[in-house]
Amino acid sequence: MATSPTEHRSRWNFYTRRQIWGFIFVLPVMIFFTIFAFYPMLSAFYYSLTDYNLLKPPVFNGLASYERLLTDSRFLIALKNTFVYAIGSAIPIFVISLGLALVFSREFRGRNLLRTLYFAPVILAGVVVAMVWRVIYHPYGPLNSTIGQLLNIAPNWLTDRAVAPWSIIGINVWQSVGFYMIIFIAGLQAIPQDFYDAAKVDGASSWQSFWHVTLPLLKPTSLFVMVITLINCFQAFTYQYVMTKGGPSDATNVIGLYVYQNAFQYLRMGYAAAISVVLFIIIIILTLVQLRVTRSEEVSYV
Amino acid sequence: MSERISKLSLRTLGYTVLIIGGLLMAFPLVWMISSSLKLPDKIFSIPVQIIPNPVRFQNYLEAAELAPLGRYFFNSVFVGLAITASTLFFSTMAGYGFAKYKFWGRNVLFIMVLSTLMIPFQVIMIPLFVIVRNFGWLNSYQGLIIPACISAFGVFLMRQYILTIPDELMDAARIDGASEPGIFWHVILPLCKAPMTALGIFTFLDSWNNLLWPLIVITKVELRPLALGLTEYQTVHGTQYHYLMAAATMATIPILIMFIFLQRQFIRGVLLSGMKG
Repeated sequence: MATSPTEHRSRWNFYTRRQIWGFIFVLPVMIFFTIFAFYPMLSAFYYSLTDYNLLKPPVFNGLASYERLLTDSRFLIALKNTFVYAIGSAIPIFVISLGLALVFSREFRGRNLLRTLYFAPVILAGVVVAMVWRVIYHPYGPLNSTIGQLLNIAPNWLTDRAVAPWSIIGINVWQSVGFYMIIFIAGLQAIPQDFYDAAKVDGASSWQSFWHVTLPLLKPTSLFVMVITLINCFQAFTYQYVMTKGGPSDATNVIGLYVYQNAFQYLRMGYAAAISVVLFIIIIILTLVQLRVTRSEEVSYV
Repeated sequence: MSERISKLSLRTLGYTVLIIGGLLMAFPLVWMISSSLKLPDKIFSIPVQIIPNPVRFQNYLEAAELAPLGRYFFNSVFVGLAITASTLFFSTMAGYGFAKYKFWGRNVLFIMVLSTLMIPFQVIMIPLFVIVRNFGWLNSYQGLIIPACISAFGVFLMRQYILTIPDELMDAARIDGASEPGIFWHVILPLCKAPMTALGIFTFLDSWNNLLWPLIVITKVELRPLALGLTEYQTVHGTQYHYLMAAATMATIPILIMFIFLQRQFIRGVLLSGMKG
């Protein structure tokens, strides 16, 4: 049955008019992101090619900032520190949060209360955490007066160049494990019980079933946790800013903080933008790794 | 018999390790609250004092005399609520648009929104500062709120959720003569309460905890949110540990109370934010 041209037309109208509403619903968000994300991202690249101190308009100077990065020892130290911070945090976070998830995905008495204790640091503000730990790490603080005294050591947790980076990593691990624990628990719950039953029938010990059933099936979650931890650590700022300002003598300086210092303390906006572009490239690489991994590693239980 | 004993002792050992670990995890929080009630010379006392003696509530009053902590607190609540309300509204609306309408360019626009998740804040921070300065929003609530008032993650989250709502509900409303915005408001929004609660908690916490952005756009004391206010407080009164801990406790109590009452939603929020990457 053929429809008359007018009928066809009004129907077309009806559908487009409705679809236009869809466009209207997303429009505010698109305008917002154009002003507050896409445009700033492009300008960041542009600023990185200029000399800009906020007071005078930016002056184009090509790749000069990037050349300078290669010889800026403070930048290179911050870059190295950032890698140490990210990897030094990611490994213990991974191991501890996976261990906790394995424990807390079983039923036992007092589970909820104990899990809450491990989760509690997650909800604290970074600034509060940094303030409290700064006092805990005080040379006469509760850490040195208990464990320090027991082991007969009294490190300067935040003022010794060799110790300070690890003190901050310790806080990061302490605050983050509860978060990743929850993600691992969700990952563990997604593994069907049948697999464990089958392993048991085959006479697998609990260690064997962990190694041959749990770990392989948990691979997507594990890679996800690993990459997210790294991405978060590469953008570190708050602990370092509040506790040490990157000191002593840049021992705890990281890229995220060095961008801020250059931009808003030394007013070298162009140079700071170039540093941030380096950070961007690192994050992009990590994100692409993650996208590849999550695409190719979708576990199917069928 | 011996196997049973070893199993029992293994269990005891497991519990002991877990409980000691849990106490160590909670120690900084407990110690912060306890020290906020101590006399200054009791803070570094040996052995470590957990229950303050004497209990000194005046610390809070005196701490608040050194800086407008109440004002910081208000700023954080106000900015956090404004950002949360706007994020929830626009994320749900855009999520609905992306999930249920087939307009030209939809997929490209959605991918563009998602791509902003990859941008580290430090990259856009400098241009963002310049934009906000050009708008005349330095040292203003607008400057704190508007650049943070929509989240790409929120749009993504709400779209995923709204995809699971059957089209029949919308069609039924259309037959009853509802307009498209009417469907959004009366049909979709009420169905999105669960993901909106989790997204709301998560957005509010993010805003409450944010230091870097306020640090850049706010120099006036009376506009500081708590995170910035506390940081400056530490810079000025860095060795008055009892006041520092009182101020830090004050900033933590509301979040702690929220956590105790909304634990389930908090954990949902964590899981959601875990999907963010």
